Amino acid sequence: MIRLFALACGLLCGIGMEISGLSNPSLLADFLLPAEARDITLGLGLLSALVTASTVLLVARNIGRPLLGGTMEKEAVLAAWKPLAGGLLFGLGWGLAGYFPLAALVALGLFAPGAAIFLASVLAGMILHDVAANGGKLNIEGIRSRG
Amino acid sequence: MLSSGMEQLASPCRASPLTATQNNCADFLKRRLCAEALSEEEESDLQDLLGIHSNVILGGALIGLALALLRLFTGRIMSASAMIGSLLGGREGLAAASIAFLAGLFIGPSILLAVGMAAPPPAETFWPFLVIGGLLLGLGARLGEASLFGAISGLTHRSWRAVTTFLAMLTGAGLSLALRQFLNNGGVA
Repeated sequence: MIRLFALACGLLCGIGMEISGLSNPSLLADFLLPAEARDITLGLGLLSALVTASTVLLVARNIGRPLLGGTMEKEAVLAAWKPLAGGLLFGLGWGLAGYFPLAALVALGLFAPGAAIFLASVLAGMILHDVAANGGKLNIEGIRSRG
Repeated sequence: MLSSGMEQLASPCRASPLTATQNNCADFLKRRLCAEALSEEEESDLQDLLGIHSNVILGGALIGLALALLRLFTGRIMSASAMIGSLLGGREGLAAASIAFLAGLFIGPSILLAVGMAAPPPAETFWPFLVIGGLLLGLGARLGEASLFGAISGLTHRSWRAVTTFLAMLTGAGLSLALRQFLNNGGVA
């Protein structure tokens, strides 16, 4: 049931991304560092998502546990520099490629070839991090199913 | 609206140049329609903004709805980076719900494409930028659990970590965009 619901949310999000056009890689440059007129599409789309999500979550504030069972996923406790450095690296990559992973998946749904290149590189970057963090070894045991 | 239109009719020789709409108006009746059209042109910038960007606002709302529903019903944070990361193990392990969400994300636009409602795939960046950008982004996503909609999700409950991540992302994006412009200009800033 959880999987089915996650699939439905994925569909909803993917359709929302496609309607808004937020998966377009050129939007970030047009918003942050425009060559000509500024295009506020990206900021407006993210703001709309934030306001909607906040409203729905605010109305349902007293739900302590997920309605379909299981536990609420929490942010991991990290050293303060990690979100900072991670965010910076994420942003550097985002600015260079124009895609973020969710947008690339949506673009992949439209069979954009660059999105596949990008997602493969993201996976490679993640593996690179895991190998470096693990003293040069890929931790296969970490891969386990929890459904 | 009508009174301002009447004023315009009473003073046909205004100092300002005639607009295209006015030029097309010949007789009185047409002029009156014209005045109404003019006053519509003068409507507030906000309405203009909402009109042009209604798709973006609607799509953004759908994304936000998906984020909130996923959180309420399954407890998961809607973060594609973390979900892709969970394919490699680590904190979340190989979670089937992640795969289901990612599949939906892929299938949704495909359906729109199949019924002819999708825009053609977007113009993409020069491929070395995609490779280097992807590597950096993957590293950052794994190091700091950074992700765009993960940060948006954190912002809904005013998490300071989400604020930090979000600002760091924008800073990084600004830096690399400046670098890209620098390279596009042939190294001459």
